[in-house]
Amino acid sequence: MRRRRFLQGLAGATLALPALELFGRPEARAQTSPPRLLVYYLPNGRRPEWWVPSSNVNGLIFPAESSALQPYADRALSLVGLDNTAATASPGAAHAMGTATVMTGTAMPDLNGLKNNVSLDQLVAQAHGSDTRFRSLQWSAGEPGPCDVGGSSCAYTQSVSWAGPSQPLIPTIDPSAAFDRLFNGNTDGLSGPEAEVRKRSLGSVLDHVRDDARDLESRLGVDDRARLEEYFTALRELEKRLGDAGPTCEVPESGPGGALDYPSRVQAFHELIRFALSCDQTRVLSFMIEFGLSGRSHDFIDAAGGHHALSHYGSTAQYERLRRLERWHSEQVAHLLSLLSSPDEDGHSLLDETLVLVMPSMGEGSSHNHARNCPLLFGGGASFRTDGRQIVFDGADRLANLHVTLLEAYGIEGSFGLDGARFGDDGDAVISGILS
Amino acid sequence: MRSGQALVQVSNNATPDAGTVPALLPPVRMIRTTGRGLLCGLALAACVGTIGEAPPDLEAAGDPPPEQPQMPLHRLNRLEYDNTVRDLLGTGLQPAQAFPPDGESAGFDNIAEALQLTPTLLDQYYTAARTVVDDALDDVPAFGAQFGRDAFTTPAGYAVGSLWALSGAPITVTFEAPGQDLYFVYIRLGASQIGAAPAPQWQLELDGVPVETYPIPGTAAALATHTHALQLEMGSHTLRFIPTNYVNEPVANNANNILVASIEVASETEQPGPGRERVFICEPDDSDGCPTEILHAFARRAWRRPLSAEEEVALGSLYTQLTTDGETTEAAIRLGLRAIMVSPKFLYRARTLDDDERDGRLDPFTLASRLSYFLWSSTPDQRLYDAANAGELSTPEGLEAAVGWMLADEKAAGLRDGFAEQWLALRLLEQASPSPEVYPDFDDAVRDSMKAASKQFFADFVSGDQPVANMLDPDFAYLDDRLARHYGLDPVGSETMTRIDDAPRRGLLSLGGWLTAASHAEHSSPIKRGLWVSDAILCEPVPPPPPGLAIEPIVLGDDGTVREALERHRDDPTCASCHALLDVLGMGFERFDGTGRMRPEADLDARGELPDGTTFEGAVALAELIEREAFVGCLTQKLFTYGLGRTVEGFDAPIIEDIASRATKEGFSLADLLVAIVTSPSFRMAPPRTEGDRP
Repeated sequence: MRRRRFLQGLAGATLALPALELFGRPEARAQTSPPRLLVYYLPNGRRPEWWVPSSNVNGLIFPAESSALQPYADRALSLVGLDNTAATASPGAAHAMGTATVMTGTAMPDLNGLKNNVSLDQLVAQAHGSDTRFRSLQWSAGEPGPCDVGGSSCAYTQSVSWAGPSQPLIPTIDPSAAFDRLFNGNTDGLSGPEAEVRKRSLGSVLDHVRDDARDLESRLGVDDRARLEEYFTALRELEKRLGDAGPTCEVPESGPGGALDYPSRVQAFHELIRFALSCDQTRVLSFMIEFGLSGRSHDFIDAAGGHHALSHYGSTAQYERLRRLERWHSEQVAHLLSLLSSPDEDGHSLLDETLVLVMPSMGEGSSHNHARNCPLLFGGGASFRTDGRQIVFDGADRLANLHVTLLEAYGIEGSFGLDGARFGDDGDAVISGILS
Repeated sequence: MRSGQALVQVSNNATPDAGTVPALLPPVRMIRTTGRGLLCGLALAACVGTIGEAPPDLEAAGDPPPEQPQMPLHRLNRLEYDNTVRDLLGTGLQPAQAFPPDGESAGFDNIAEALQLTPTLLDQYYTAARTVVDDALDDVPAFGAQFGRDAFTTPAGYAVGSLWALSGAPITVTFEAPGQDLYFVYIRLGASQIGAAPAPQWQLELDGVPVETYPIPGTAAALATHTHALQLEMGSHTLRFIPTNYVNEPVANNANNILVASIEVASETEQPGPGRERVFICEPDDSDGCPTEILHAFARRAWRRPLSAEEEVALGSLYTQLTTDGETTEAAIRLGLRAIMVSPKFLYRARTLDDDERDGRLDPFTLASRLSYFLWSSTPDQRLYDAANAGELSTPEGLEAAVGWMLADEKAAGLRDGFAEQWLALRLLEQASPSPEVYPDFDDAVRDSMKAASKQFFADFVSGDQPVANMLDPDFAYLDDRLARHYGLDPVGSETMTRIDDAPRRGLLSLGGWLTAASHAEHSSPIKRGLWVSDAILCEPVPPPPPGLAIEPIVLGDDGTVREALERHRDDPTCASCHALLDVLGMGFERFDGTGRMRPEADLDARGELPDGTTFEGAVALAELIEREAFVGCLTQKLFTYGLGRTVEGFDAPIIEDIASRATKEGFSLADLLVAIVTSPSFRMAPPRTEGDRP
């Protein structure tokens, strides 16, 4: 409805928009601004026989285990066998290094402390995220579990998004907390004149907090003052969130219920992703269905046994359980795609304006195969050739070049690798066939 | 070189690069001597393999002694945040459970360098401040009773996360009303409805008399709250909720169900909240200056040090600004409390340039915070502040006295919840998922009992005076009936943890908690167990697999024995250097299955082997082989790491060695060990200021 108005408005008339719009897309942005970015992370790798579609002139045909994705095959681009050189070059904590590098392309020199790099989604957030209330959001339905070997920091398995070399953006894991953050206004839930007073008061509170923080800063040593910078950055984001008018769409009455079980949390986060994107609260999201090295037992689909252990199956029974597990993952991705692809009156959907990058932590999990990662791209609108094709690399190109390609698509110039590469350690070329 | 770098990882580099000599190597040599002693403490004639080899002696005469590492800004972690708001405000809420997970390093989640503050987290701190302040200060019902899932489980129903699905069976709650009053019953619930089944309904019965029948609101993903208002007399009352139209037709795919999260009963009569008395030190109505006094008193406690004149003025101005703009007295005070709790002075422990560091000792309030977060995982209390104020923490005797009464305080549970839970792999135990097919006996009750047994075991050493080295071979163990049954032992006659003298399984190495955590879903894991023992007991963490390692996929159907599978590790030279030690250490525990039970098979291969060929079998045998000083030294190192919030460095090495030596010779209890740690220079002395800091 609003899109039609926009076209009519080209004649020069000023449009008066209704105060509340139901899940509308932002005006005038549908065609001209770059698509939103959703990174959807899957842990413990994917078995290629269940994940990689076959391709012919008619399009992509997904294997039975990921047949749930078939309805979206004509909006997909399958990339087969990209080499995550950064993970291979990192110390052998495979899940930590896989998860940490799939969006940063930067090898860790050792496992002491945190030595990563800024991730692609954060580069997009820095370039395009300043208009929205949240520059970016990071969510996960997972529960923190054992971390990888060698003393590697748990942050490596628990984040795919990094704001800087030692700044993992560890996801929110509670859907209620995520809901509150999205829709909790800046008036403590008050309304009317009390709300106006409270808005001013909260501003005074934050002013006081900022001055207080400056006072502390002036009394710290040089190194600690540098450390406190993270606090000031966070405070600025908080002020921004509380300063804005709030969501410009109908706020759902209540958020996710009390403690949900795992599959319900996954679906609750899918709904929240849809809200966040359609209400234009952010343009950049990353979602981890579970953390790297996940040992979750998927009893609810008769796939008992830790996921990680199953990915290193040693028997036919375990292989079958892994099959059910990976099938369930495909169904979850499909569920999210179904939420994003429901059309409005003009037949347009969120998926037209959002690039969904489904990124496994590695290729085949049983051999920790970083060299043959098979991500899937969905949607993203006209900029991306997500039209049912497949590009087979078989290790001939680097995963970091996928990120270079995305930098290109998002119009982000510059070199972001620690040694001057365009991205990561060795991302230096756009992969042909991905962009329109 | 960054001061945060862990020494043991530097020293464990299997292929030290001769070209780069880190400046930190000389102190490394000291730890390594201890390290070789640890491994050689396994009664070996000679050590084999690259682990344990001392690097070349690079400490020339005249090298300056290593400096005390810095004390960086230290953010509160989740456990510390929850305990702190509990002690500051009296709230029972635990908002940090919804925070993102804490960064970890060196096996603990309270290491300063690993704790970051992201915008998401500050957002959550901001929201949490409001939630806990309101929870502490809102009036509460004079009578309240809460019933969660455990209160209404019935054989017919089943759990869905923390919800309970009734499946047609009624649930009953009983409570004792203290007086005649109006009582509100709040039920959090949802309905599920599939196919042609009708929307579920239930009937409420009060003391046997039907009250009303109504349809169930809400869904599992969006629970609703239904409220009943009941006028009740003093005495016992029973509420029964009876589903009236349960349908379960799996073939036709028609079903409905009722899911209950909680039932709460609250009297209409209210009383002040749990925090009011401790926060409202005066009555705002009585004097104009009272609100500011309240904020000052709270800030002193929340920021863990006396206030400066500027801070006092700023808080007073904030209050005045808020009331001038139209907030009520109560609201303005609460907003002030929230401001105090969002300040970095609350969220971080900081050493400032204004600190009173006379004679090179840490400022007494900085030291008090360090002490309380070490032993309580929480903020100092008034007694500890008074001790700091009076200068009592400046002497070893004063510190020893403080440790004494702090360990006797119930807040010392924080040491179990923080240190013991991590050292004894109990957090990993929470994530362990033993296969229900292979281990049908293992359930959450066993898991909880294992956790309690490990923590009680540790607590016994905290409060007792037996030598801490006895952890390896004590004469007691903790069991309850459930755990005893799981282990195949005689019942102990108690549902709660009981100390059993001369129990059949005793000691750290037999605790089911870490044994289960260090297992796979379907069987034990010698590698994980070897890893745990080498890290937690011997302080010999093993480096990760080298980069570029190509793991061969396992061929389906190729079982072999566990030992044969592990032989592959030892045959491959890339793997052998680490796995030669790990696998065989772990093999010695093979008599414990994946859930810590003893395997009865007579021909079980549970022969552990040490690099020199010495064999042992079982936890008891290994415990005898471990040099006591090596174990005590490792425990000391772990406590140092946890208590200081940083990895141990060259500066600490001789201190740890000395403590370990004395502790072993003189039979230190765990309390004695803690005293030795907090009176050590590492803990109580102020690190030298770095260049660029104002004097």
